[in-house]
Amino acid sequence: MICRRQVVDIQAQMETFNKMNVRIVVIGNGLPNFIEGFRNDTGYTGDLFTDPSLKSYQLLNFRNSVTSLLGFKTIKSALHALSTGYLQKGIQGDALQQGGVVVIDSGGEPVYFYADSEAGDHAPLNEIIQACT
Amino acid sequence: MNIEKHLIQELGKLTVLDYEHKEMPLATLWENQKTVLIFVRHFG
Repeated sequence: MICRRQVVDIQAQMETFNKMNVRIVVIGNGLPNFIEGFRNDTGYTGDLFTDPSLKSYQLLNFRNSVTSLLGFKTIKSALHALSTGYLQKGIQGDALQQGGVVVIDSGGEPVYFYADSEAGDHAPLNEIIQACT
Repeated sequence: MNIEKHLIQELGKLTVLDYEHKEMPLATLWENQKTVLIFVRHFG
C-alpha cells in the first residue's frame, strides 16, 4: 500500500507536471503482468514500466540486502529465523528492494536524486516539483 | 545531489519492460523532455 500511495500522490499532481512539460515515468520491479493491475489500483495515467532484473535499481545503488527475488529459500530461512528467535534480524528494513527518484533533464543531466532509506520513506513531492521547475 | 552524469549514461543503456513485455531502452525516456523516474519498491 505504501508504494501505491506515492504514485497516487504523483498522479494528483499530473496536471502540474504536464504544464511544466515534464514526463513522469514509474518503474516497478515485478513481472509485467502486474502493470495493468497497478494502474487500475492507483489510477495512474503516466508511463509505467518494470525492471524485474533490478539492474537499474542496482546501478542507482538503491538499498537491497538481497539481490534475488523472494524465493522459497528466503521464506524457509525466515521461518527458521522465526522459530529460532532471530526474526528481527531476519526481516530488518533492507531485506526488500527499496526505490527512489531521479529527475533527468533532456540533456541527460541528473538534476535531482533521492534514494528511499526504508519502506514508507519517499522523495518529498515538493522537492520533485521544485527540481522540475 | 549525489549522482553523476556518467551514471545516468549507464542507466540509459539499460532496458525496462512494458506491460506487453516489450523492451524500452531507458535513455529514450528522457531524450525529448525533462523526466521524473520514480522507482517503486514493488507493484503491491
